[in-house]
Amino acid sequence: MGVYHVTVVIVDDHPVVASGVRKWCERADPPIEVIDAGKSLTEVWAGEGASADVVVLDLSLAAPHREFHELRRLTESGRQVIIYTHTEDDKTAIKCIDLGALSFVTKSEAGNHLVAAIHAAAEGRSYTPPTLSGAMASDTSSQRPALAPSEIDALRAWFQSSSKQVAAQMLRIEKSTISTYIERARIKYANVGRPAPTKNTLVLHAIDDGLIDPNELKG
Amino acid sequence: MPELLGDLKNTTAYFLRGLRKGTLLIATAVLVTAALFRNLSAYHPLATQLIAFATDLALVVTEVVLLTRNRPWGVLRWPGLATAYTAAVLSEVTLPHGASTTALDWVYGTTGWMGAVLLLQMPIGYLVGFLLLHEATTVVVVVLSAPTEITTLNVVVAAVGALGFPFGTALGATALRNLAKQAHHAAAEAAAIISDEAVQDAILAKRQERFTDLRATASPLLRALADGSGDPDDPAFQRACAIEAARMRRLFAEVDDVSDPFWHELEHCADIADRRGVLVDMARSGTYPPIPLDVRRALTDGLLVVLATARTRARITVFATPGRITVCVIADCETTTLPDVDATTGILRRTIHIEDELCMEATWAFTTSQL
Repeated sequence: MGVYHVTVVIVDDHPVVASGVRKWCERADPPIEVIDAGKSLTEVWAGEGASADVVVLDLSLAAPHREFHELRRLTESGRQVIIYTHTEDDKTAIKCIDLGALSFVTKSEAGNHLVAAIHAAAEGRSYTPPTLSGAMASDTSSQRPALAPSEIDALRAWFQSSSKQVAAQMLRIEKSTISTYIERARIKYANVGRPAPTKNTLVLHAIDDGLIDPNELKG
Repeated sequence: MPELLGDLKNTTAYFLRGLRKGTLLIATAVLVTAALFRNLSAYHPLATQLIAFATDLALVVTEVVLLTRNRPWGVLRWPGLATAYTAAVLSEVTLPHGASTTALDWVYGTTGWMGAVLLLQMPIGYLVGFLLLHEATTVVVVVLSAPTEITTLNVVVAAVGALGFPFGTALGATALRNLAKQAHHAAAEAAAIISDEAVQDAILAKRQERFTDLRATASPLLRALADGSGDPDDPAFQRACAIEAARMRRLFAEVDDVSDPFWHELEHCADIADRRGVLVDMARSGTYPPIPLDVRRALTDGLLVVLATARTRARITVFATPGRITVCVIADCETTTLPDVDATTGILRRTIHIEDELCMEATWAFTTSQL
């Protein structure tokens, strides 16, 4: 058994979920240590989970509004949160990233998306799986950021194919270009709406990496 | 008889029309043959009698006009009755002494018929009331002029005719009104049955219309299976059957009453592949309004073919933005060709081959007026 580089604490009211996620994480590269907090957030704030790199939070533990509230509390205190839920509603997805979640993964999506999201979140980075990508591409709310047509096309192709390879061929561009467009769109979302420490970090990282120009984020 | 299907009032008026004409005829005859003009010299004053006669004549003429126009008395009814009664009183009190209910009393018999003319369309109680009021008034006039035995006998005998015949007419009207009600209800029942049958016929026609499309494509296959010309082991024949089975599944899904028929039909299409062991994955994004049936069919036509022939996996997505819906299926299936534009619905199709997979996309761009 190698040394775990990443720890994640998972909060879900179905024990089978933690068990399944643990299996995926053990096989991941690098492997991820999973702490099962059960259905309460106590283990996340205190105990073992308090020092976990990433929090994987189920949205529908009890009443929905409580989980949004909990998400807000976590992101405001700088925790790196991934929402992992069976809800596939577009508006919920957008709301979660607006509140500072680094990723929104649905339970119907393949396990590799959650693992990729955990790896990215451990470094304070975002990961955009197909469902979230679709929500961003079809977002017509007034609070949405201004996305370039190429960025919207990339989000849509990724949503339709759930394969960057296929998406790239659908748009006749490079696979790396697809990833770039998707990340840029995600950064633009992090730049609007309610402020949160995790969102600021995303934006700063992106500017540092040269992914996006600060001028593009104004207005 | 078209009148029967309208208002019950119209039906009743229709049934009473004949009786109304008859009553008017009798009233007119009674009026014009009044003893008044044969004994003009007997009346002192004559003016009141003439005024009363003119009043009754005016009422008769009004009825002629109303009858020709097929209109009821309506608001004129009660003023008309008051006028007839006033004319009767005027005539009665100015008759020669002791002439009440005798041959000279022309207004006694006439007033009953005025009442009949005015009250034929009302329930019989009204005419009875009017006749009794008229009779009571006459009796008072007779009593006040110190009647003899003969006078009293005369009053009784005259009453039989003056009250009896108009009352008889009213009884006829009552019978006709009941008949009218029965006829009206029978006609309404008949109309309901006809309408029910029309609805059943429409449902049957719709059903046959739906199956017409299937008959063109499914029956040749079924016939081929039946007469042995279609080989179940032939992959091409299997493919054709799989596609037809998919179309039938879609057709059955179309009649289900669900909130999102389009997604429901897509789920049925996905099920086709799922049953063959294909791993199917579905997702939707954005909101869309209700989509017309012909558009739904055009959007899913290509999808059906891909799903029926997918080998191991398929992903179906619906992506909607204002004014556009795109359905996309990506699966590992054989090449298939469909026209790029659907002429009737304006749907655009795009097919791309990516390694061992086929990506088929159908887009419908619409304005709100097309929904």
